[in-house]
Amino acid sequence: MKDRENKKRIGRSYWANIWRKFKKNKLAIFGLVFVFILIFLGILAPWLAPYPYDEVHYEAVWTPPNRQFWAGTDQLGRDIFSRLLYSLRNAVFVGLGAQAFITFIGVTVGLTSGFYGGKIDNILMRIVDIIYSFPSYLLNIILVLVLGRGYLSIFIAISATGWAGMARLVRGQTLSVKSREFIEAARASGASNSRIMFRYILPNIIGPIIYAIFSGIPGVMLLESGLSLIGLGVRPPMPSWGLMISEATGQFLYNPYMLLAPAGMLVLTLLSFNFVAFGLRDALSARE
Amino acid sequence: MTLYIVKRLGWIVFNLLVLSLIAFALIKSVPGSFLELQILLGQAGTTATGLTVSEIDKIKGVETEMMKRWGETVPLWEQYITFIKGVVTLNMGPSFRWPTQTIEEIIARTFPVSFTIAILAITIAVFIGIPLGVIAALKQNTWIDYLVSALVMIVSAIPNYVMAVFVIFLFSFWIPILPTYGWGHPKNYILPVLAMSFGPIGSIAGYMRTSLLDALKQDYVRTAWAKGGNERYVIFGHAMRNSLIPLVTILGPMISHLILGTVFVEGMFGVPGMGQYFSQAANSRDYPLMMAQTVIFGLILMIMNLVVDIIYFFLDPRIRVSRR
Amino acid sequence: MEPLLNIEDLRVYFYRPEGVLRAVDGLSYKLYRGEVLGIVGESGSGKSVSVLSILKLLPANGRIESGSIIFDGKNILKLSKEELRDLRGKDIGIVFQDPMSSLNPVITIGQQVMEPLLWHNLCSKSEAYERAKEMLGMVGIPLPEERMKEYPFQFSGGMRQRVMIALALICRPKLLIADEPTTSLDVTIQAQIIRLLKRMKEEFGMSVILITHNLALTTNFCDRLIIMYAGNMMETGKTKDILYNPAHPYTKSLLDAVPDIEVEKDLIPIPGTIPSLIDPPNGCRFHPRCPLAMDICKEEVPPLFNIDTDHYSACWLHRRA
Repeated sequence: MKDRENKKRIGRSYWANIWRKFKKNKLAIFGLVFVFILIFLGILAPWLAPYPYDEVHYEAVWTPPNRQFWAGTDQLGRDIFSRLLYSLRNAVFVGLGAQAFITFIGVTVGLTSGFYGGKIDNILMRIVDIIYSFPSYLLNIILVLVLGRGYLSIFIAISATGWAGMARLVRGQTLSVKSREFIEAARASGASNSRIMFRYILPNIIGPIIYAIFSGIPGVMLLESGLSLIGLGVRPPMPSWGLMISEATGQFLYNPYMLLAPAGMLVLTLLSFNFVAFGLRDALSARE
Repeated sequence: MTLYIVKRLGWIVFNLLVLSLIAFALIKSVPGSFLELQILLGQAGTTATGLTVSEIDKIKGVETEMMKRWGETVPLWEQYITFIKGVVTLNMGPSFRWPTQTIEEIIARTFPVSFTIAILAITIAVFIGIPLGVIAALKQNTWIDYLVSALVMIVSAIPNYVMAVFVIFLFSFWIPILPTYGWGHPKNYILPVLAMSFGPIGSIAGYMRTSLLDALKQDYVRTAWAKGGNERYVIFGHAMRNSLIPLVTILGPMISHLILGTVFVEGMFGVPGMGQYFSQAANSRDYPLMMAQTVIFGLILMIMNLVVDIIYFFLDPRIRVSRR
Repeated sequence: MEPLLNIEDLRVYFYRPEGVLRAVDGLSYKLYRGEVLGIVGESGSGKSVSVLSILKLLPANGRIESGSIIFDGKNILKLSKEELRDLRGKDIGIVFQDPMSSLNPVITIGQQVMEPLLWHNLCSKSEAYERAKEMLGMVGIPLPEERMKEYPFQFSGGMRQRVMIALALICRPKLLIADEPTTSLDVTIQAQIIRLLKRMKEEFGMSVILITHNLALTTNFCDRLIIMYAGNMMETGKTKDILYNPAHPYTKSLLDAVPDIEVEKDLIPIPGTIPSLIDPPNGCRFHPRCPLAMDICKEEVPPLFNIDTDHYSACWLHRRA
């Protein structure tokens, strides 16, 4: 009887096991919850923000947090809390959007390269190597200059260099799955190449891909805030954490909250994604 | 071994050519007139006031130099060739933003600064991060471990420009002992290096902890205990040796990261390094300088990767000896 | 005569999230000087755990619950860390199962063989070097001088195991524990290693505990055997007695499952699988798979019955009514 219970536990699906291990990590769960809250807040920012992000209140510049302005105001009297929400929206948009681009390109290239092998693999991986050796920040800056400012150009700039890492990962994973027997079986039963790639190989390597997505989003957000720090982010007056931070550094003595608020939010957001990523990594790699 | 290095160097040259082509093509396609003579002349005009005759002559010379290189009458491919030749011979002509200086002068002056900061930051990070990671691993699951791990995680999530502000606040206002702005004195190095080192400290400590914990679970560590080893012999003689080697593989990208990352931080501290010049160049559309810096940065990155690979080669006997 | 090793009622438990795993549950035996003892059993019988406890080399979640281990007059469980370290590698040497992973890949073979001597401060570095060279020659490694500078990955599996034996014996210990030394090696190499162990034993005269799941390996080497199952000892006695007059049903089943090159016979596997050690069966742990199980076997743990001189079996079948 006890044996049958043991067998039931072993028989649970791959995903159920991973979820179970993930659940045990309290930090990871906290991170995941926080991530959802942040995305939710970000999407709803226009409705949640008490003030428009560019509304100035010259009578109330540099106020510390109070009942009216929950996070205080900046040098033009704009409500920091509202600007934080809009920045969050920005960050979520850019983070998820650019990462989506990266994932799409990276997975396609990686799958193709790993699956077909041979010349295609060589050429594609050479390209990846070349991109890896480029100074990506600089190219991002140049690309944004070239494409003008705006969301689309930031997406393109960030993903133009970012897909390389994902492609390498996916290729490695594809290679390790390619030689398994069920792929042989699928081929023998007449499945087409693309079907094998997307319906057989891809579901089996989704774990590391999800981990790469979650650990990539913080990187993208950092890139975006770095760009706006030097004035190449989204067009003002649309706020972004990087922009808020650069404005705040000079005014640190007048209102420290100008810096602490966006910096704090940025760090919290990054940390939540990092916690989820750590939890995923532990859950995926734990060997009984 | 030498064959390997030669092959790598060949690839580096190829990659750099591709990089320079991409940078050139991108910059050439920026909307608006590439050679903004207006800016040049305007600058020459404003800088001309209050200058000596010989300096004005020099600026006139700059104009002709500019026209020769980037003028609209020169076909694109020729511009590119001049550019490449310029990089290789280290004669890249004057910068837009600072017409009285040649690009190679600027780079020669600023590169050592950024590089020094990056190297110092990495050194500090290694000397603090490795012991931290080891301590956390050895005291796993005690409060020391949790404290260190928590600090590590938080610190790695803070971007270096934010850290820079905190560091400035801490050491210049709260405890006013260090200068924030200005250059020329070793004292000026401390804050920027400190700000840049926190991130790497976090990464290295975290990595060391994981790596050491992994090594301690291995069979050969059990053999070491069984042979009668004490903590010192087993942990430092056996386990650490194995866990330090993979650390090298993350140091390489980290150094490159740091050298690039100075772009953000130098502005805050007034450090006259490559990063600050790049961001100012970007802001004032100083294309020749940006292109040259991109290629130089790229070269540094690739060389660092090669150096790391070579060091790894020497450290890991499995790779070194299998030349049989 | 005083036994070299005296184990009494040893219980070793592992604390897992799903429960307490009773790996060794009441094991007692003696080992005399110069004796070769074989501990035989399937995977999960507790054979490895029992000897790892002697050197306190258990993984973190393992604990020696109760019982006593007396080696050379010293109570292992009461020793200080330093005293225990003194025994390890010097008075007791151990050879592990997987030579691939048991040697440090980035340290030279020579260094690893010298370490037991150096760590116990038994001699100078140059003398350790000479003795290591000599030892490697004795275990059958050709050109020891050159091979000492090499790394484990440059050795084959069998050679690596010889190196393990060399470093286990370099301090001339009183006891050598060989924990499944041949399990991960090719069949042809297995015989070589056992022959080497036998030669070393004859050369140095130490006691040996050989752990294996392969009865065949014990025939020419072991003086006495212990048959273990699910953490308990099922039968023990002189090797000849056990092989030719097995008393316990489990031993008989083991022998039935071993092919015999001279006699053509059916190989009869033992039905069922080893029981869960977290929730072991009541009474005799073998009863679910035993063809001769009786009612009392399901309820009470059988004691060791004395069948013959020096031959004991833990089975209710031997009870004289």
